[in-house]
Amino acid sequence: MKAEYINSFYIATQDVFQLMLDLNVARGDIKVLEGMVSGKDANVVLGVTGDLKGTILFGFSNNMTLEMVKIMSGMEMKKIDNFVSSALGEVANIIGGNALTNLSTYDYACDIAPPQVIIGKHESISLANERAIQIPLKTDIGEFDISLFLSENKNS
Amino acid sequence: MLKIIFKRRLFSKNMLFYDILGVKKQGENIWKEGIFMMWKEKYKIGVERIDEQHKELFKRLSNFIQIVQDDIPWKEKLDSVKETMAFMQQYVEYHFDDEEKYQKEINYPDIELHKEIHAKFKQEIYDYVQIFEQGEFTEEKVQEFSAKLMTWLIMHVGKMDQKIGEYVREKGE
Repeated sequence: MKAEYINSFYIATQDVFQLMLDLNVARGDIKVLEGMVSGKDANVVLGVTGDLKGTILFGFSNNMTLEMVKIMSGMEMKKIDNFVSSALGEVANIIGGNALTNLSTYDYACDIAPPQVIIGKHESISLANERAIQIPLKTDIGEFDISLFLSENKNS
Repeated sequence: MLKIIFKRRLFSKNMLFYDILGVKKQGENIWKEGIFMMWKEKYKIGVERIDEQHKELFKRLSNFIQIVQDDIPWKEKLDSVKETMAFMQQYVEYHFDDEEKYQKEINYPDIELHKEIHAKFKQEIYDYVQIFEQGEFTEEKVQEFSAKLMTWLIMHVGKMDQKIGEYVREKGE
């Protein structure tokens, strides 16, 4: 897992959070993941193909998700309904898109699939047999994390 | 039952536009000027013509989302959803055209890229309209559509459109 991947996603997250939510994002210590990842209240999965292949997983708490959509819409959200989960998916999608642009400066040409939003803490997301790292992130409205399950696709 | 009250306003000699005066829910006016916080001062690009249109666009989008998210049965708000959606879409078309016209007037160098991005987004809206017309006009699908519009608009106005303002300031227009 190269620093270029981590930085590409971290910088993309900072840029998008600043632009869309007016929030600073600070990162904690990177963790190495093994096997299963326990799902948070709201999770977004992005599939990556091209020079890198794998998955990006965003995990948010219920409160942070509602607060994020409240910031964007200016309206109080009572629960994670389809509007909220779609908005969350799109934010993750935009981060992914920005990260791909950052990765291209390191000569990685990739694509991302449309976001899949998974709601429910009881869901355990298994992305086993892949090397993975998790970036814990902090904002004024809560903490979230991004898990990167990526490997180089030398045949692409 | 939601009732939308329109006021007619002439916007240009070729098109007639309507202001929403209010949205009444069982006699109570639930739509008041200034309660839509979707617009943020940071979205201003510094070109009055464009900023005024962006404000209007956010206002109409806010109104649409407010109704989509209102806690009343889908069937009861279906007509209001359709009306506010059309009202908002009509303005998206008008705004994109006028913004492109403005970019041409000022010899904006990235006009072609910007037009492509506008065209792509109009196509995405059109794709949803097709889905709706083919019968999938469900609450979930409309929520998905409105969320995408909101995030797209925020990103586009916040990033791409800001560059128009930067160019205008550089040129001293």
